[in-house]
Amino acid sequence: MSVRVILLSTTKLKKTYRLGRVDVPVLRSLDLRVAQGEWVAVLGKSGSGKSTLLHLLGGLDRPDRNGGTILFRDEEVTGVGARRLNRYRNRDVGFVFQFYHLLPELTVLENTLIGAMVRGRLSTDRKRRAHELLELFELNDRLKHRPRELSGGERQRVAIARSLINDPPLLLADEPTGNLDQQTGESILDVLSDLHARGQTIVMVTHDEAVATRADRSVHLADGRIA
Amino acid sequence: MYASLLTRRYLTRRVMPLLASMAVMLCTAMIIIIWSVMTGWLGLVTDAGRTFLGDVSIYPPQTQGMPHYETLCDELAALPEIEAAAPQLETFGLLSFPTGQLQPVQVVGIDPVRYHAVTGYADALFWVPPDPPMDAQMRSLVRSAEQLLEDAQSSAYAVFGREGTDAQRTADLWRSQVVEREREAAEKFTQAARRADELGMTHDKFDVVEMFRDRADAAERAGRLAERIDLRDPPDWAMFEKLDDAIEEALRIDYRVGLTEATRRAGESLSLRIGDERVPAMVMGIEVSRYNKLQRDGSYIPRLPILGETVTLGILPVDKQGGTMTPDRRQIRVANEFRSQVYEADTRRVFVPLAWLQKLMHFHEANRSAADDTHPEAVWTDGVPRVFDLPEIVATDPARITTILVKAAPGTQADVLRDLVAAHYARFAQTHDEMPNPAFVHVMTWRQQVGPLISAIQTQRTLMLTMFIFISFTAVFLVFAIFWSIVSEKVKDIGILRAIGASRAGVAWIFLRYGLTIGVIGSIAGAILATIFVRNINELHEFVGQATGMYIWTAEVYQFARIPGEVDVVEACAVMAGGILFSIFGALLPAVKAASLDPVQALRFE
Ligand SMILES: Nc1ncnc2c1ncn2[C@@H]1O[C@H](COP(=O)(O)OP(=O)(O)OP(=O)(O)O)[C@@H](O)[C@H]1O
Ligand SMILES: [Mg+2]
Repeated sequence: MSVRVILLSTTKLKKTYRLGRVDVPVLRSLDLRVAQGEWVAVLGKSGSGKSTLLHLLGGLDRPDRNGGTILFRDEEVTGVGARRLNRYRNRDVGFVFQFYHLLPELTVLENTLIGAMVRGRLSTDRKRRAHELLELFELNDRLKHRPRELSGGERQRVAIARSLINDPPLLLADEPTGNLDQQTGESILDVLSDLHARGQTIVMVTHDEAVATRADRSVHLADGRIA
Repeated sequence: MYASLLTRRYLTRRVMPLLASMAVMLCTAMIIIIWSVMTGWLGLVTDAGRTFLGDVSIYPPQTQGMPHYETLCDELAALPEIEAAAPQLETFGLLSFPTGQLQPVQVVGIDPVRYHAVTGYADALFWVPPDPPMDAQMRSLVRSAEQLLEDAQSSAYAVFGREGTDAQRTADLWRSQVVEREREAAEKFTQAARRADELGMTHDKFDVVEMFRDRADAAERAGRLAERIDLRDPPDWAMFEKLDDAIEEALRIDYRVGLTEATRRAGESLSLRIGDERVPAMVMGIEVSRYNKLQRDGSYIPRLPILGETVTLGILPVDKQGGTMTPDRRQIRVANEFRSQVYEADTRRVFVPLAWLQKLMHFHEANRSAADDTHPEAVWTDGVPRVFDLPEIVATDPARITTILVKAAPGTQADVLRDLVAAHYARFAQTHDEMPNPAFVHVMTWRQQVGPLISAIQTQRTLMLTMFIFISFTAVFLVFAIFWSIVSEKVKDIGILRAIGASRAGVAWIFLRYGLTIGVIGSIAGAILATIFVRNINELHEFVGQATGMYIWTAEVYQFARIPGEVDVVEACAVMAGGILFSIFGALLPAVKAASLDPVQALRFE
């Protein structure tokens, strides 16, 4: 067996929401390790805190005070400043949402490129990468279309292309098939599987056992912990 | 990079930003229009206020007046910084019209030609003789006469003083090409004069018949000179020059054109021809007599004819000590009226010949007797007055005036000129008798004199602008409201952008840029709109007036028939910058709101 390099790990991760005067603990002391090149599925009931976990991993939200740590490679994501966090979101992780979340005014190509634009000047390198990704996802004839002109599956493929534009080491997907019918969902999973085969590390959240079977490994989130 | 893309897309895909741009446009246009019109008005008033003022004026104490003014004026006019200087005598009087109407007036005695040189007075004269309408016959007569004279002139140059040619041939050429042509030209001018006489083109101040007679005379004189000139060697160049002058005169006498006409009009403005003599006459402000009715377009139509009318001017002469003397009154005819667009002048001022007013005011040159309290005693014997004890004349009191108006030479600043004139006066007063003490003599620039009026309008302009800038805050609120709603609508987009790594500043920049773009578009459109509006403001005003019967700008109120206004580039740029700033200001808070959104919350936003 080869040496497994840990790309991402959490230790004693805690996240509590405050609703009025009531504290609602969602994650309590969650430990998770994701190796380089691994595809991990996080399973759990609705409301178990899967999205919350993914937001923390993606640097979109911060854990509680003294709420544990998230290590990306050897860097503590939970402790960095705003600038580094923006960079982390932009280059180190790619995010795919259940509801696609494309920018409605932009075309398919522009949506794909937006992450590279946020990063800085658009290089021909990035443009080539965008075309490459869109071709890979069979969208190369829809470049000038706007999101509302696409089907759900197509939209999700654009969203995946967008998340990969800066070649992030880690792809986070929150119920990527949750809003799609069975067949379309399968095609999205094929895409992820394809990416995984090329070495992409993926953390995918789902409540569907069948979907989780496509991953290397599934973990169950219950009661704020990995069971 | 992404900010510009998103700004562009947000702009082109919505109606809202269009509305915001329009609000900015209207506010920008409004302020530029107000500013332009107010500034234009200020310019008109300033120019008008200058009408009867010198660039610099010298005011001695009024009762005392100033002697030796002719010398002083000549000295001043000789300075390189000064173009012209003119004396003026001023007093108050009571004017009574044949209608029984009485009008208090400011009486100003002037030497019209010099006064015109300083103030351009002739341009204010209202009733101008129309360009003489020549009929076809006259026109062709004048044209052929002029052609003949020009041909004669060039032939004269070609033939005269030619050496080594046959003397007989030269004489023949001279006769046919110079002398004959000049005679013929004289004949044509005489015919033109006759025709003008037939048509009754004899105006009191512009006599066409006389003009053509003068030209005929000059041509005739040229013919006589040409006939007498010796064509043999050595050439008589002095004589030839006289001939050339005569031809020039015949060609150029034309009172209709150029400066000569204005000066001539000025010179003749204060006299009327009655029979064979010219008598002193008055020029009064267009509103003094109330004989004329002001039209809405700024023109006047006479209700009663005022020109040629005899009025009576009464004044109260004041002696040097300020004591009043016996009131005096004189009849005078009205020769013309003037319009300066300065309310005070147009309603109150009358011009009369300087010498005429000096007499009436006892400011003329007078002999002084030895003892002031001895009066000549006239005793009537057999109906004949016999005078005893005629006092000895010991001195002559020079004529006096109350103001000297000075016009600066081009390039001389009024302030500089004022100091120069004051200094010159101080020296002059030392070397001449009875000059008022320089300490009591005011030397003022025109700006100092019209200052109060101008500053009133300036204040009004500032007030208007301030008001409208406040009104323009509505644009800020509009931009604010529109942006607030756009940001609210775009919460999810903001969440997405933040999720893929956009910084808070980057997100804020999208909306600031958006505001900037709306400001730039709105301001430029506003400036264009304002320019079009101001350029056509009078036509628009007329159009709205005709449609609604409501005229905002009337000559009665504003003194000027046309609405003034010229868009000043610097002012327009300032307003545009303001518009842009306001738009950014309006976008500021929404941008801050967008930046402060938490990405997760933004993504969860429904
Ligand atoms: N901003 C918030 N304020 C308060 N409670 C919240 C907030 N966000 C999430 N929660 C609560 O935290 C819990 C976990 O939410 P989360 O969205 O992570 O669940 P999930 O596992 O992704 O569920 P689903 O499968 O339905 O998407 C839920 O009970 C939810 O009500
Ligand atoms: Mg969820």
